[in-house]
Amino acid sequence: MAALGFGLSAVFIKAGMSSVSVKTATVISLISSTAVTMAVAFLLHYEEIFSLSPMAFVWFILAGLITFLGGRFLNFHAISLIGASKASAVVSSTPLFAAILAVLFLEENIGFMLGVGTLMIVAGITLVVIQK
Amino acid sequence: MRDTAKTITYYGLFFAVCAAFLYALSALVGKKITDDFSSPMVASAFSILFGLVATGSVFFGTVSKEARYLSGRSWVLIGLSGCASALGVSGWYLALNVTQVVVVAPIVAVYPLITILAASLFLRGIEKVTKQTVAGAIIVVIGVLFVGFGT
Repeated sequence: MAALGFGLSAVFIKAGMSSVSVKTATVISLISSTAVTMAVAFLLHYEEIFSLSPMAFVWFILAGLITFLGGRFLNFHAISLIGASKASAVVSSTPLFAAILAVLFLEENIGFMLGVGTLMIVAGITLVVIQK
Repeated sequence: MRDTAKTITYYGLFFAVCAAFLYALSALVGKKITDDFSSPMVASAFSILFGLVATGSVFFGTVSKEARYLSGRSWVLIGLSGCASALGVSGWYLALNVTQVVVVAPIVAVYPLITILAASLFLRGIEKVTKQTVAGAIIVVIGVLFVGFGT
C-alpha cells in the first residue's frame, strides 16, 4: 500500500497538473493528504492527540515547512519539468541524503554497504540525467 | 530550442535533488519528533496539516485565482495524488506496526518502479518513459536498498 501510494502519487499529479500551476497543485494535494492522514491518526491515536505537549506542535510546524512547503513543492516542480518517472528516480535517492546527514550530524560511520549504495545511486541518477 | 529544453531538464533535476535533500532533512526532524513527542502517524498528520496551512498562506493569491477555473478532472487527479501520498505514509506506519523496518523499507523502496510502470500505462500522451530511465531507476532502487541495509 505504501509503495503503491508513493508510486501513484507522482503519476496522478503529472496528469492533473496540465492546466494548473505547481503552487495550486501543491495546496490542493495537501488538502486531501490532510483529510486522509488526520482521519487515520484520529482513528488509531485519539487519546495521544489530546495529550500532545505544546513543544510537539513547534516540531510539527518545522516538519511541515521542510517536508511540504519545501519538499513537496519542489518535487511537484520537478515532476512538471522532467516528468513523473525521472523525478521519482531522483527523489527516491532521499535515503542517501539521510545517510550523509546522519554521518555529518549524528557521527555515524560510512560502511561498505553505504559506500556501494551511494555509488549505485549516483550511477543510476547519472543514467537518468544523461539521456538525450 | 534545444538549449531551452536542456535548461528545463537541469532545473527539473536540481529541484528533484533539492526535494530529496529536504525529505532527508525532514526524516531527521521526524526522528526527533518520534523519539521525544509522538507516534509517527500523529506526527505525519499534524506535519501535513501545518504544511497545508503554511503552503496555503504563502500561495494564497495564486490558489484563489486558479482554483475557481480549475476543471473537475484536475481537481480529482490532484486530490487523488494527495490521497495516494497520504495512503503511502499511512501504509508505511501501519506496516511498521505489524513487521520490522528491514522488511518494510525494501518493499517501499521500489516505488519509483511503480511510478514508471504507471506512467507508461497512464501518461502515454504526456510522458515518454525510456529504457534508460527504467535502467537508471532500477540501479537507484538497488542503491537505496544498499544504503538502507548499510545504515
